[in-house]
Amino acid sequence: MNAIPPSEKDLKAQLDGATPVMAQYLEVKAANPGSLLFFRMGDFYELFFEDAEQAAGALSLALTKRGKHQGEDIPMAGVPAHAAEAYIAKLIRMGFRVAICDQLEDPSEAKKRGYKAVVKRGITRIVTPGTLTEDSLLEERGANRLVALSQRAGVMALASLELSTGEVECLELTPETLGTHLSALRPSESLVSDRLLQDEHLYALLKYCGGAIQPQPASLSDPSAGEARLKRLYGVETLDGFGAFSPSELSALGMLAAYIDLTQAGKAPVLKAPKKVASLAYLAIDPSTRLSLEIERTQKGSREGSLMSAIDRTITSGGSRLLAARLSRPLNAPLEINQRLDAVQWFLAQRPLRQEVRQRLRGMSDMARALSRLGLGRGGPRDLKVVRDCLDLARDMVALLQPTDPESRLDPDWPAEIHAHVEALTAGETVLDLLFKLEKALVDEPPLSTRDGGFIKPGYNSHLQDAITLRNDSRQIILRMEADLQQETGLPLKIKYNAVLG
Amino acid sequence: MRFSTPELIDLDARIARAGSDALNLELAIFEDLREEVRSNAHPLQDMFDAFCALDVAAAAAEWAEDLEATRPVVDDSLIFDAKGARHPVVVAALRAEGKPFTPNDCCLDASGQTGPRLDLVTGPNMAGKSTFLRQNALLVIMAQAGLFVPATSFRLGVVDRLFSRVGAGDDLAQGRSTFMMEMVETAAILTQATHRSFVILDEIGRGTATFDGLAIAWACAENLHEVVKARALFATHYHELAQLESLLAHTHNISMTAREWNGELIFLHEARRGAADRSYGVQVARLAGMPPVVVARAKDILERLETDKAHQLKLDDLPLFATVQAQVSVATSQKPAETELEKALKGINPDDLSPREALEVIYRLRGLV
Repeated sequence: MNAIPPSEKDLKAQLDGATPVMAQYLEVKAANPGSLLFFRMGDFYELFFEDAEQAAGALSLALTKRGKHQGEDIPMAGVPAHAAEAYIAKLIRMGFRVAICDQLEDPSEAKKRGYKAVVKRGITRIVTPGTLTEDSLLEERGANRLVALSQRAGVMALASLELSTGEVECLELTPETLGTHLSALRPSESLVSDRLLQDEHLYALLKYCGGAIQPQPASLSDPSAGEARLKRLYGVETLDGFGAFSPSELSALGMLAAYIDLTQAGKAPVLKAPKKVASLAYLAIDPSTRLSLEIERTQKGSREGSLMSAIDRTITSGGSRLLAARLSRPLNAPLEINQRLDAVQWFLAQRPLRQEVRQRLRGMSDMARALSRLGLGRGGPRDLKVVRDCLDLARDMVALLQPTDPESRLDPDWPAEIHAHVEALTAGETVLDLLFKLEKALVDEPPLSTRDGGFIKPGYNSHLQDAITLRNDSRQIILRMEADLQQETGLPLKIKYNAVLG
Repeated sequence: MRFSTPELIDLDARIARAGSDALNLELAIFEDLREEVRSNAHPLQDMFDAFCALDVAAAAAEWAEDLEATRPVVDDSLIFDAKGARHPVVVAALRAEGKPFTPNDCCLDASGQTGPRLDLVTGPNMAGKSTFLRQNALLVIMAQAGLFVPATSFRLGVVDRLFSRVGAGDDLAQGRSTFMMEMVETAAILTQATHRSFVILDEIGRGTATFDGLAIAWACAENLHEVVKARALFATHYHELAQLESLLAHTHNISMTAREWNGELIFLHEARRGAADRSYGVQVARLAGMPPVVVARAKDILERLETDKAHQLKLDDLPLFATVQAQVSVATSQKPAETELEKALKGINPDDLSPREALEVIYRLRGLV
């Protein structure tokens, strides 16, 4: 987004004399300026030209050469695909964006098209600071938000999206109150139209608490186009179900939608409905006040010594994120505040139950992030395990929160908040169905990746059972054959599997 | 040596097929399950949120029990009334070291009915002014976040905007001077704060010359009280501001107490009604490890200033004037005549000197002694 894509004429000139793979590379690169391009070649992601030089410097990789392009050596650097995540994490932390270009077909498919055919490749994702979903790239107890700032007809709107948990919200504000809201959200990345960035004051503010700034062309901030993109993102015909949005809100939400579409290469994440926030719903705290009161961090930037670190007794990473969010944005309606206080008081009065609840929470994993990965078609068997275990835990928790005395079961003394939580934790029919399936299908401790199989219980599916029996029996057959041959020849022959020869 | 036989090759094909068949089946089942999770994503997300909220409520109760915190009474009034309040972070740090924390009360009411609107907080440096100010602002945040607060009781009329300028760094906009920064931020408070806001301000005007600073601090305090009408704590080292208590309808003086004992300074960390009688700056300087000569000299000057004040000036409603006079008298009475050596030194511009010339200057200066 930062760089202007080269014109078609420039691209043609660049392609002149390029090998087929290099031509493919240059075309993908030209379509994705402003990111380091990780180009999949076999077991490696390779970087070329300037990207290679930058990445080699940033990651201390060996800079090598691969052939020539227009008479010049092509600089190249690469990382093994299986270890790419760690390298990408490092680059993101250093402020780079990384575009991942994968092989979209098996090389054998390409060979069928002809001796010289190139494997189909395409961008599968652009990794940016505000669109992370992997646990290794995310801070466990911190939120990771992407925001978009827009202004239409003098009204400013800020929209925010957390891809790793599916939270989306937007609000209208004024330039004076932007700092208050921006510093409460603390985004990792901000999308802002070029025009707004010319405002010096705004730019300084974004630089201070807006994370990585991505200037957006004015064409992306059109409200009606934004509305259309938003409908596509949510897969809905109309936005009426979400409430009424102003043109500036649609513009900001639309910028988010465009960026998600770009960075997730068209895959639609599972998002919650966009929440329209009233600008006055929260206690307004400006950036200087936050800094001065050391709410989430001290003035030196450490968590140690902040209000959050002094009072945070939560067990789960999600709980910790929620507490931080509440401290960043205290409410300002007594009714809602008192509802929260009722829940705290209820737990304060029930010490043994509280301990029991906390004990159960200890085993909980971060389902929000697992859901986001599964929704985007990433994620592995272990993410399914997280869902299964959370559903299990929900069943336990509901039983635990029920009063033991049978008479009060019909009308428990729950405060409104606890009541709502119990309701949310009580699984509906389709969710119960899912739990039933997961319990039957998934092995107890599945591997991280789907690559080597072994995550589905063989008994779940008869075809799977047959194939596995055959596979395992085959191993038996090899052993038997080995013994036979050894006897026959009288030599210590061994039959071993070999990836090259078979 | 490696061999392969037709029998083995056939077997290999069967194994490979069975293996990849199994994997493909597993993958297909995985995709089915993933799709089913996806279509149930919304109830699952709600379930996760409920877990998080239960965690927060139980954790807040755990913390409240541990710290003997109390449930705040939050309503629509304009009152801020904390009794026996403690700073949530400092109290935890002190407890880890086995030290006690001195609880403090703070009572404000923007309407002026049940308490002052503005508290002027004076007291020596290091006596805990900043801690006291921050502690009260943090009570607002915690209460409105729906948490219990470290106090014996706390009533809070909801606050719409919270402003704190206490020891804020100037990292926000680098390049501006500290004083400019301070003025920009103070301006923001005076223009944005409302009757329902809560403001804590520390040492406004410290970044500039004494009278400028005092004048600005005075005007800001007046404006907060008269125009903004917000609940505010205003810490200052300008003891002259203490007179505002008698000039403004809803202002109290609060001081952070300290006692001198055997020539040492003991901080009591206690907020009391009334202005601090002196700033103990000289004692603090000694605690900070200033050379004894400097401390002794400072004491001399302080005594002189204090007698001058008492004799020549009346501290009425023009404290600016008093300070001006005191300052000027120091400047004139303390300045000894310039010596030859000083004159010679002043005449040197180091940037204009070559190394050789510099050496010559040193010889010449040596000759003057």
